[in-house]
Amino acid sequence: MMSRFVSMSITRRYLVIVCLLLLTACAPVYSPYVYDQTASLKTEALALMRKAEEPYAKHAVKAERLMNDLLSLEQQEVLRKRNNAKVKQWQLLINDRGHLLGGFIHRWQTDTTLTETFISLESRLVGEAFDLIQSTEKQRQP
Amino acid sequence: MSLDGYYETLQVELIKLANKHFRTYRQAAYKDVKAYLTCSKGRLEDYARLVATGQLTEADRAFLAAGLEENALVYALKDSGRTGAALKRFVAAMVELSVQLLLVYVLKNGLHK
Repeated sequence: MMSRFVSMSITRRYLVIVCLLLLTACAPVYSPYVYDQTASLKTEALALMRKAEEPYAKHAVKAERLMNDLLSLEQQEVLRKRNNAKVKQWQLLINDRGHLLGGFIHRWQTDTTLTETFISLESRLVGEAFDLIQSTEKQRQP
Repeated sequence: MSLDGYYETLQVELIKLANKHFRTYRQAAYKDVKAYLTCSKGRLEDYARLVATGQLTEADRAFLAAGLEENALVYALKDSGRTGAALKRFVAAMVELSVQLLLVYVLKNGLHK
């Protein structure tokens, strides 16, 4: 009776260990490259946003390059496994029909110039969105 | 302009909103409310100041309110990875409620320093 009890508890322990290993295997993997790239794109994006008081045409090349870099990073995120949450975060940030960075650039393009107050408030929102994406990556660190 | 009164009302109303939206995940929703209040405090103050001084156009206000909503969604995704439609509706309702209450507060109290 006692040995049966002991063998059951050992089986349970094994089961718990197997479940934990499976859970660990399912967790998304941290990527230092993505983390650094996000930081660098944040700096570029905020620097560009500060110039939105000037006509869009003057900064069109930089804006397009930035959006291309962001799209390419988003594509890399799409290819990573179990990464849906981050892909959605990027999509919210860069969607040109949205109201964060993509929407801001689109509006700048449409309105030609933007006001200082609007730029300052929108910059805070975009900066925070980048920080949130970065900390999502950071919390995957082993 | 002091917004203490606004934050007190907002907290009460957001808890009511969480109770209305969630039965099973109420504790998680309370956590969302707490985090939302912490991270949006500075932004809402700036927003109130600019609205009160008439420095934002109607279009700017609408754009920024939608931006606040999207930012809160980015936060919700960071926190738990939840992507449910219920969470999206809750976040949208939180931002809508805070902006509405803020505008009412600014209109009632004006620009008292």
